[in-house]
Amino acid sequence: MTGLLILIRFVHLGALTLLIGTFAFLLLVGRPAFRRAGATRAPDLERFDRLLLAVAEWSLLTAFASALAWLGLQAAIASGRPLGEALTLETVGTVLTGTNFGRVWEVRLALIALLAWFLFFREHEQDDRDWTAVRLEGVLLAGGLAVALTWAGHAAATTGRWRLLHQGSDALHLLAVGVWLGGLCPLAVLLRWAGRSPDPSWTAVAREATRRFSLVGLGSVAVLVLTGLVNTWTLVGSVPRLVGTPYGRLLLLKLALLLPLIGIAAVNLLRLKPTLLAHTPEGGAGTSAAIMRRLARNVIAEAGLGAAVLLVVGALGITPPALHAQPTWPFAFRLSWEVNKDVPGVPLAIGVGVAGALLGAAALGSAALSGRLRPWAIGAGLALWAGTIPVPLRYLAVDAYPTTYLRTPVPYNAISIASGQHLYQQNCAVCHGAGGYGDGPVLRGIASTRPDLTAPHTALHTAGDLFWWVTNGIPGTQMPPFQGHLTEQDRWDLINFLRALSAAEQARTLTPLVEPTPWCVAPDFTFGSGVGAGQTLKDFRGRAIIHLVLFTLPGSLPRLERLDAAAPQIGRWGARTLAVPMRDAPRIYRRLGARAATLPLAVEGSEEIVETYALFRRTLAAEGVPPVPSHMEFLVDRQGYLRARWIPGQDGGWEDLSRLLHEIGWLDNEAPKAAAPDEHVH
Amino acid sequence: MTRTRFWWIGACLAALLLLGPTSGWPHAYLVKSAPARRAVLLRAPTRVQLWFNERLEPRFSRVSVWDREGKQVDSGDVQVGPDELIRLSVGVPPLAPGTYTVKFRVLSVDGHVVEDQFPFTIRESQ
Repeated sequence: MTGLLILIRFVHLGALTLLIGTFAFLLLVGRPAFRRAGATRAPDLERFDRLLLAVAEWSLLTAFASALAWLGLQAAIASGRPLGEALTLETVGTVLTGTNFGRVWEVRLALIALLAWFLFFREHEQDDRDWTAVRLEGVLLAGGLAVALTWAGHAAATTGRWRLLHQGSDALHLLAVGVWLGGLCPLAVLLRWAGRSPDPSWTAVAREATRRFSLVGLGSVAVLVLTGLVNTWTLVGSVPRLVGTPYGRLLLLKLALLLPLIGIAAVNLLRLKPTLLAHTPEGGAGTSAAIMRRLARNVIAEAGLGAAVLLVVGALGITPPALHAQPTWPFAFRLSWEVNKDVPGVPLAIGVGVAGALLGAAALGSAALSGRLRPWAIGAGLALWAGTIPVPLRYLAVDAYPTTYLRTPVPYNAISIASGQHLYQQNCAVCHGAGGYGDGPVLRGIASTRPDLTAPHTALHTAGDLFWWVTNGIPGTQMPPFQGHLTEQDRWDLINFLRALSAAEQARTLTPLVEPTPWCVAPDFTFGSGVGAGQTLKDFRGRAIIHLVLFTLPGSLPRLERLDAAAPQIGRWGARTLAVPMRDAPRIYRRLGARAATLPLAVEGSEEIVETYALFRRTLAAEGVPPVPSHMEFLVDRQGYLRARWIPGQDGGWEDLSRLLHEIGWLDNEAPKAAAPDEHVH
Repeated sequence: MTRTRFWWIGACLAALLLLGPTSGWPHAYLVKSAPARRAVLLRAPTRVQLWFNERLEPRFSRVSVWDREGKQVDSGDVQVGPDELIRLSVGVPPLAPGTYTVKFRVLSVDGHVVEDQFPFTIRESQ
């Protein structure tokens, strides 16, 4: 099915390309070139025109057939049934009338019908205006077909501000492909015809056509490069995803095919075209003919490479964009400014590298611009590059692994963190210590470096690095591989727990006074109470400040009653209290009795919420990891950051409710300071 | 003659712009669910609900619940919405304690299919 879809997309794209190309060529290149040669070539123009319109008709039929086949395949994909079963009127009809893809297809089939009407039922053109009108209609409708195609592709799935930019550039990209690639075949035909005839008027036609097409081609390639960069940026967005995902690698293959294509085009433009234009029509028609034949050969080679590019594009369209894929990093090192910025000598090394690269480029550029082979300039340029560019690279390189750039597929939430904590106590605490300080019984006797897991490590290595070490162990150390012992999900849970552990260690500084700069992401959780199920902390982002209360009965009862009474005041500042039982959740309703009706309780999910938020009990006052308190309260701001904490017994606490209200009011008045936190570590 | 035809084209291209995608979304991905992925519940749910980041195509969106033995246990009344078209849900009869798997398959707006599954557990009542 996948192979079939790639093939159908390829055929369809090829037909569209030819359709746009033939009409555009006739208008912009063909007719003006024949006119330049005078009345002698008028019959040839007619012949050429008839041939190209026949090509357009066949292309249109091909586009129609492949559009129908594509629709059938889409019905199979959408319904999840095999092709034979999906091709019922009902399923195809539902896809056509009830999905975004189908709506786009309705428009495109209408455009095909309209273009068919104009093409197959055209009357004999009376004058130039009629002639132009038919071909212009062709360009417009074929262009519309291409533009509409982008609405059913990856660009249609871009969100937010960039959607219009991406869709616009996608559409321009296709149009430019049509004008340039689609114009190559007509150009080749014209050059072949001209190359066969010694008549100087044919040479004049070929010259004018070449001159005009090179302008059209240059414009199109400029558009292609610009829009291609925009599309790459929106669909790939990073080097790891370019070299590490199927989509990115297909894109690199496409570029590898484009380089010789652009190379041939450059030879045509810079070498053959000037020679052709320099020949006078009277003398050396033979050489002109030879050049024209060479040009025609090159143009056919270009068209062949172009077809190969379209085949790759056919595959690209059904590959998930790199943005949504997990990259596999192919190199044993990566370059990191972050890790090495404090290493002495790095700025100097970078300066040397940049200066050398610029000087080398200048030397190579001078050789290129002079148009002659200057071995000493080329040699000097390459030597400069080879000598200086590796210098900063050596300074900036750090070890990397295939998993380095993975995004954690498991969200940073309470279920994952709590599960990670259990796994940690079972598998890791024996070396790394219960608190993560690297003081477990196994390592205690070893005086070498002790891996302190509570250190802020995110700047120095990625979550993917941690995943690699947990999976494969670290050679030359005590760290064993856990690949056979823990599932992939388990290992990501561990990494989420380590992230929370490291955050909790730094959150020692949290006090009952709101922390002025948000940095500590409040782990998300799903909770359910008597009323609704499936609410998450994230649901309140941008809507409410959350006052999270972890309580234990009976000690917390007076506090809960006071909070319940103060709920209207708390709500006035846009905050909501959420009470989570630390123990005995299944019986909490029975124990609270009638009071449970008014309290905002989180019972379902309470176990993992408590395990996660109890991590944040480390304080500056207590050394190491204190015992779990029986009551804790937190404030989470509207963006999802943990901003203040009160543990009964702390100074300046919230026993006095006016203090709590003061802090909530402070958060309420604050302008958003940081970007909303991402639930995936990078 | 030519002019009327250009009117046709103009009308067609205008329709194209108007009928173009009114908004673009990425693949439909699961934003949250009740029960949550891997949740351990005290009480059995009456419906399994999934919220996505984009509107779903009711004809091509399915969700089902399976027990440990691989037997389908939901009531089969799969529903999108009705209040919000991003919500997909299916009813379940009173379930015994144990681990269940929720399987779903939805069609996203760019024509790609998203399929996934996740477990949840109902705890023995104390």
